[in-house]
Amino acid sequence: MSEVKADIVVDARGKMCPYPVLETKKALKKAQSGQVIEVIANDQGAKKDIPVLVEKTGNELIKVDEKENEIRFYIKVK
Amino acid sequence: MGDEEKKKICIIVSKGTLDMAYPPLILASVAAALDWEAHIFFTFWGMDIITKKKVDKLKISAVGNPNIPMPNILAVLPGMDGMVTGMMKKTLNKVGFPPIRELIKECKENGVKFYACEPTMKAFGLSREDLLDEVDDIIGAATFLEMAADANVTLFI
Repeated sequence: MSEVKADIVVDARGKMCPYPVLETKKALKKAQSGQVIEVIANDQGAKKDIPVLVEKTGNELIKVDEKENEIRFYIKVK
Repeated sequence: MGDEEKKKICIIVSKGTLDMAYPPLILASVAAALDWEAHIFFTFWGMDIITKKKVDKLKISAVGNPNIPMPNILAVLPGMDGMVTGMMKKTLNKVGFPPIRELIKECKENGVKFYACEPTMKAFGLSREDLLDEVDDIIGAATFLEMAADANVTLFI
């Protein structure tokens, strides 16, 4: 699973807690089942918060990429 | 959500300074995003956060604030609260914190409920029109207690 294609991209770079979580939630609400959301964040708090949000809302985190300070989450919508 | 029961957070906000406005709004908005039920009860100075004329003018105090690198003897001078607040807002903005009003909007979009304290309104001479439209109801202590009785998290700020 080297390349994951995202249907929706949430760019939360430069935004602090709670924004990465809130914007991801917004995308989750809009997305359709089976779609993949890519969330890009550089708030280090997001590293733990996004997986919690994904789990608690019953979705699936399929991949996390971290390069330098940038974290990319790939979420499969249930 | 699974078969897990819905969690609930109830927060009492009693202070109306800028630094005391962020934590409850951040916690409640994130709780709601996690599909929790989230309630905020504003009382005493906390009412400033939901008062139309005050919400955009929340300040932090320079006096008696050990986090402000300024001796108290200077902090008491006129205009110092405004200056310190300006510095704080600039810093918050730089690190990506939203203005309070925007956080309130986020809370409401995620379904957080806002309540104004009925006795405080009387004490401060406030009417419904003085409060933000985002306020869901005006309630007393008994109603809040009933609401908070089965909450998973209760906080007093």
